[in-house]
Amino acid sequence: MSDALTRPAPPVSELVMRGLFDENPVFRLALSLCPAVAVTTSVKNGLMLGVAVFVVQVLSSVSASLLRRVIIPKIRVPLFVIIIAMWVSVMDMVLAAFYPVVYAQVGLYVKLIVAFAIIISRMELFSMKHAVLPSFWDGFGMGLGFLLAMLLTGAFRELLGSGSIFGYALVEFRPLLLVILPAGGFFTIGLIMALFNWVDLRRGHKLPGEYKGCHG
Amino acid sequence: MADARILSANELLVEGAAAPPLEAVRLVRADDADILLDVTGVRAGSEPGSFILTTLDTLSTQDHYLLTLAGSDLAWSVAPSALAVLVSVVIGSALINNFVFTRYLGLCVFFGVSRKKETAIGMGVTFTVVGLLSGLLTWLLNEFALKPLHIGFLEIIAFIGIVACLVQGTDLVMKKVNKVLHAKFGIYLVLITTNCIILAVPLLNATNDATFVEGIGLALGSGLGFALALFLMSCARERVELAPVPPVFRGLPISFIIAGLFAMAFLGFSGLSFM
Amino acid sequence: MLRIAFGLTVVCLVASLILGGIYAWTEPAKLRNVAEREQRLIGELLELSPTARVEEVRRYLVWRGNRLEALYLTAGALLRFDGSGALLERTELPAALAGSASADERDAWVQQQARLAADDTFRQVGRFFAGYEGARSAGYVIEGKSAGYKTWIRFFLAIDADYGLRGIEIIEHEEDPGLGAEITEPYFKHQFAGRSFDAIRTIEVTKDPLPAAWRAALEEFADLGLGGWLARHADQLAAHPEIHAITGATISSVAVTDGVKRALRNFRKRMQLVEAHL
Repeated sequence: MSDALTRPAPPVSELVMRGLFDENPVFRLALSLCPAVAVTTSVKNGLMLGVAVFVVQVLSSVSASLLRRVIIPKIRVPLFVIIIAMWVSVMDMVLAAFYPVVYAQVGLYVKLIVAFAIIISRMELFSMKHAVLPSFWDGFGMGLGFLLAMLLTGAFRELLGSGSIFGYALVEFRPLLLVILPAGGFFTIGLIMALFNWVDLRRGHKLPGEYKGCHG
Repeated sequence: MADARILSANELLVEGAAAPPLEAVRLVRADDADILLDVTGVRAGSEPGSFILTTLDTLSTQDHYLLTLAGSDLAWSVAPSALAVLVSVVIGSALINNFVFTRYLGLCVFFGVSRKKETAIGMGVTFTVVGLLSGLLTWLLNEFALKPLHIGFLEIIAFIGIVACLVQGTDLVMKKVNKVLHAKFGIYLVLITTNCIILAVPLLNATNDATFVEGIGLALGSGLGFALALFLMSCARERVELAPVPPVFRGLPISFIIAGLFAMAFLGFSGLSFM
Repeated sequence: MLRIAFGLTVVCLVASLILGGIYAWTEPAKLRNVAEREQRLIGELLELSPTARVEEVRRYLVWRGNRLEALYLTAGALLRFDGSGALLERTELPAALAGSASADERDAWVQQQARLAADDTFRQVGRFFAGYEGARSAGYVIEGKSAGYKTWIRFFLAIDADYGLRGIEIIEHEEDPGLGAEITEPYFKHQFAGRSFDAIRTIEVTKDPLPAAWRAALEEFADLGLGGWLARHADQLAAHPEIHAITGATISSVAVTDGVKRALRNFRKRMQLVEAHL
C-alpha cells in the first residue's frame, strides 16, 4: 500500500548503514554536537547518553510514524517537540532512578536531548512519510550512529586522558590530561571528523564541502 | 533593618544601636542558624550609635550572617548585595564557565552561525535578549507553579514550551513593530529553539534552586558569553577561509580545532572570583 | 484555529498523564536506591557489622519572630531546644511513624508538632546518622555541603564517639574530571582519616606535592580498614599534619577541607546539646 504518507521504504541494511556512516549524525551531519563533546570524557558516560539518545530516537520516530495520519500539519513541529520532550522526560526519570551514579554526571545532557535537531529532522523527513517498521529502522540507524560516535570519542578521550577504558585502568599514569578537558573534546571531534573525511576521500566520494548549519 | 557590614576577616561593623554587653550578642551564619559564632569583643564604633564586633571565626563576604541581641527585638542581616551576586553570576557564566567553551552547549548553532562577523553579532544580540526573557519566564514558572505543585517532572516539557512560545511571540511582535529589525534578526530566532543553551539555563536554575537574582544572572551571562564566543570565533574563521587548510580539515574539522584553542584560552579564567 | 488549540491541548494532556504515571513508578524506586546506597556507605564508613543498627536524626529550625528553636527527630522521639540549648519539650514518636515512614511523612508530623503561629518559619535543615552495635555507639555519619569550584560538593563524614574523624566520602560533585574530580580518589580523601578533633580544627591545606611513600600508604586504606591502617601507618599520619592539595585543583581541595572542618565543629556543638537525650 503506497500513498502520500507511506512511501516505499529502502531496505533495512541501507537504513542502518546510512545512520552509521554516510549520514552519521555527529561526524557527518554535525548535529547534536553538544553532548558529543561534553559527555565523552569516559566511555561509561558516553555509553549512557548514547543509549538514551538511541532509545529516544527510536521511540520518537515510531511515535511520529504511528501518528502520521492524525497529526495536523500546521502544528506538527510543536507536536514533535512535545512527543520528544515526553520521551526524554521518561528516559530521564528511568535513568535517575536506576543508574544514579552515572546519571549524576550526564543528567543535564540527557534532559537536553529534547533540543537535538537530529531527532526532529528524522521525524519530519522520514517518519511522516513512511510506515512504522521502516521508521523504526531509520531511527535505529541514526541512533546507532550516534551511539557509535559517543563510544568512539569516549574511548579515545578516556584512553588518552585517564589511561583507562570503562573505568579499568590500563596504564598507571595520566597520559594527556588536556584530552578530557573541554579543549581536548573539541580537538578530538575535529580530528575524528577529519578522519571520516579522509576515509571518504579514499572511497572516492566528494567531500561534504561547506557546512550549512543546523536547520531548526 | 539597620545596616551591618563586614570590615575585615574578623570584624563586623553594626549601625543602629549602642554597643551591647558581650553576653547579649547572638551572631550566626544563616545556613547554620543554631550554631552561635564565637564573638570575643564589642567596642564602640567611630560614629555614635554603632559598634564593632570582633569574632574568632573568619567572616566571609560571600556568606549570609544574622545578628540578634538577647532581650531586644533588634536584628541585622549581613549578606552580599544583590548587585554583587548578579555581577558575580554574570561574570561566572560569561567567562569562567562560558557555555560554549567550558560547558559545550549551543555548539550546533555556534558552528553554523559563526562564519561571518555580521551573522555572529546578529545571533549574539538576538540570543541574549530572548535568553534573558526566557530565563525570567521560566524562573517564574518554576517558582510559582512547578515547585509548589510538586510537578517538577514536567519541567522539560514546560520549559521548552515556554521557549517555543516566546520565540514565536517575539517573531510576531517584531514583524508588527519593526519590519527592518525583523528582516535583520528574524532568521536567527528560529535557530534559537534548537539551541541547547536556552534550555540549559532554566534546567540549571531549577536544579540549583536559584534565587531570582541568580537566575537572571545566569540567563544574562549565558547570552553574553555566547555572543562573545560567536564574535571571537567569527573573527578567526573569516581569516581561516583565506588560509591554506588541508582538504580533509576544511570546513568543520578546522573549526573544531579553533574552538579547542579558544577553550584552552578560556581555561585561563578558571579560579577568578569577584567577591 | 480551534482544531489546532484542541489538538495541542489533547497532546499535552496525554503527555502529562504518561509522565505522571512514569513518575509515580520511578520516584519510589529512586528514593529506595538512594536510601540503600546511603545505608551501604554508612556501613562501610563506620565499619559496621551486619547486625548493627543505623538511626537517622533529622534537624529542623523554627523561627518564632526573632527567637530560634532547634528540633531534632530521633528514631523514637522529637526533641525541642531553645536558642541557648535548654530542652523545652520531648515528644514520643507515634508507633505508626516509627517504622518505615518516609522522610516527607516525618517532616510533616514534626511541622505539625511545632504548632506554628502565622509568622513563624519552619525548615528542615540537615540530618545525621548514628550507628549502634547493640547498645554501644559505633560512631556517627554526618552530611556536609561545601561550595566547590563549580557548584556544591556534598560529602559524608564518619566520626567516632569522641569526635575524631574516621574518614570522609564524597557523595556528589560537579568538579572537572582529572582536576577537581580527584577529590574522590583515595590519595586525597583518605588524608582526613584517623585525625583527632583538634587536628582537624586547625588543619591547613598545602600545595606541596604529595610524597610517593605517603601516597602509597593512603592507597592501602581501603584494604586495611581504619584500625589496620593506623596500626601500620600512624607514623606517616603524624608526619603529614597538613592536607596536600590536588595538583591543579587547589580550590576544590580547600573547599572540601573547609567543609569538613566546619561540619565537624558544628556537629560537636550540636551533639553536646543532644547527646544526653538520644
